Amino acid sequence: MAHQLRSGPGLVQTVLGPVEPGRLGPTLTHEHLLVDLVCYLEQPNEATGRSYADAPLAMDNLGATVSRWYQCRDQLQLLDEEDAVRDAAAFRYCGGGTLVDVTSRGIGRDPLALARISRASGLNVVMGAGYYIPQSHPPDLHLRSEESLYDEMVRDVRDGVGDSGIRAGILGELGCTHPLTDVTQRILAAAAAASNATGAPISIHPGPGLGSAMEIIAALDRGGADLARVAIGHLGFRLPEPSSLLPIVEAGCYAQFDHFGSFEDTSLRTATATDFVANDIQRFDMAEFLTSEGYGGQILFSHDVCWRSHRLGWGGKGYSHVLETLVPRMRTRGWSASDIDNVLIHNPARLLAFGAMR
Amino acid sequence: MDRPPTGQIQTVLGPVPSSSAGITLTHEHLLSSLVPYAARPGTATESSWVDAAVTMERLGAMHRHKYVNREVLRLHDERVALAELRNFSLAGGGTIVDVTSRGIGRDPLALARLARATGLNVVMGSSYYVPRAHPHGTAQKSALQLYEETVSEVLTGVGDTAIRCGVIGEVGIVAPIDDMQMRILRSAAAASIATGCPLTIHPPLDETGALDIMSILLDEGADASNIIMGHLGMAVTDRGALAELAATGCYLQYDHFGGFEDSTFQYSGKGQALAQNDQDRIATLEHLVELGCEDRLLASQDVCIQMHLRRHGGKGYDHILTSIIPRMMRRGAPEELIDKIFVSNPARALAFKQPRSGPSVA
Repeated sequence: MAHQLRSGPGLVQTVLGPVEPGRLGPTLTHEHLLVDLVCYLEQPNEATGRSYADAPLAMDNLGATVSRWYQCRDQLQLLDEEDAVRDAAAFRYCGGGTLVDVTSRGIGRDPLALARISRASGLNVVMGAGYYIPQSHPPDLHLRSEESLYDEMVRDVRDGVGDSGIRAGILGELGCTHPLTDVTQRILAAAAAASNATGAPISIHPGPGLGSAMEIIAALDRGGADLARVAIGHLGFRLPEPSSLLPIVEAGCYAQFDHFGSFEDTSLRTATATDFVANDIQRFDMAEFLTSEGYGGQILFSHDVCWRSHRLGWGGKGYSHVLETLVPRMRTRGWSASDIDNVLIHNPARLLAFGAMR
Repeated sequence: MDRPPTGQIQTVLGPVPSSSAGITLTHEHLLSSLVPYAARPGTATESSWVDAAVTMERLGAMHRHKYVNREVLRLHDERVALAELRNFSLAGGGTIVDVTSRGIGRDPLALARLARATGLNVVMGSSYYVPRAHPHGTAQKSALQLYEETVSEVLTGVGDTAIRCGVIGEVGIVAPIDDMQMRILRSAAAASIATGCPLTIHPPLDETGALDIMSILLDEGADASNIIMGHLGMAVTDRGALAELAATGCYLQYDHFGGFEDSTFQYSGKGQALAQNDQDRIATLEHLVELGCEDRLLASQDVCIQMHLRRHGGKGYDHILTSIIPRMMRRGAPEELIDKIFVSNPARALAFKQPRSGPSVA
């Protein structure tokens, strides 16, 4: 596979090589085909709560494991390649063209499997790089210098991961805390420099609250990153006023609403936070507000499939919800064809096409 | 003919003092059939979903096919109902109202068996659900016939079972309110006045229908404090309209907790999803407390399709106890308020009032 072409400015780098951005079709910019999120696993105090830890997800515990997602290992591991192919193919069959797997280092990124899934499903698949949230970091990561993180990211993009010859097409998802820790600061600085050196875009998983997004944007800006190459993800998770999202798009970043269909249930909580989930209606409201303010060219939609209950075979909506269910809804809400195309096709293509090396 | 003493709740096993109701869900279905809601399939793919069983593999796509699928709409299995209901009694529940009315599978003897098997107080409904669910011949019934059959179901029991209804409803009304529905509403009001039995209403989901119904019932002489207005999270979402409804003095019921979180659920086809989620429902209850309505608030889950059951990926009958009450308390709801919404308000709402002589039903 080492013979594969490297992406250049203006091209999208997929796991099977560079692709013209005009050929991406409808694109999901924040998904996981395979992922291992056991870093979230927590043990509850109560004995009956602990019974969820190793219980396979089944119809009769599905209702409870949404709110217990962080106590159930089976929810947190998407390890089956055939399941991934089935759901990816379902997206392809309803018209999808490209999917970005933002699984970064430490949560099971799997270059060869992504190449197989891409071939089996017919989808363009873009692979991520960098690191997710601190609890998923390899034990020695805090000892690594910014330069060594930069070198690793640039290698992943230029030469491919390990000896697989398969190259990352986006830096992220970079999992950030709020406030940023020393190591997440170094990761962001390294990503800013690696983005400039390679032209690769950046995908951000911010900490809670809009203050986190702005702190991250400031850090990337200090690192010299081109903010027009940055997608800020997970927007809407804390039910912000739509107008409070403006500073993100005013800075030039993409506003990514990436929980469509997957995070609708308000019983979802963490050990410390409740009542923070927007539903699809509220996500539409936010996106429509940004469009009305003239930022329709910076909006991205995705599902962030990352739990087993998001899979089509386990009660979820898979990767197909945006195309199958939401596009008709967008039409009846009054979205023009060009606004829909922007969000699903043109904005992702512009984000993913490599920029000039700076 | 007799009626429960004023102040008592009529369960399928007989009257109980309202003080013994305990934690109460005022709007549920234990056994029912909402197949009248099933739409005709328009495509081959839709046809393949008509009789498809609810399985893990189909669950994710069910939300898009639930309007043609018949299985989803059937709660027919008494053993399943028993197992699901046990979760409510084991979580501390005391009373549950099955508002399944005529035409959607109401089953008096099965409700009595479930009451004995679970130890729960079970209250049964009377009257009619929405027009598409009316049994054949309903349209030919006069107001007097409708009144007499409802009074008889409350005072002597359904058919020859001797099992009596403890609420009149859910009376299912859709817009526009035609002559037939007007007869049902008026006869239900008259039967409530004559027996003291509470009324429970499924209003149109159009912001104004609930208030229209209150005018009709109050014109007929019904007592506002003997009326439960349901489905408010979908039926009346405008705060101004809600304040107007609250001013009538009826009970205000938020009965879609847990089962209607998915914003695809009540997608109306007009780009508007009607469903509030649990977060909105809790916030609305808090708003109504601020308006001074805390003695008239009720909450329930309206379990009515298979996907609401725990065994089919849902939250079951215990969601309010296991999830919503803890959430309300984390948000700062005082214990007295929780007691009102889940114990003392439902007990007062379900208690039979003093019968009065009302207008003659012609």
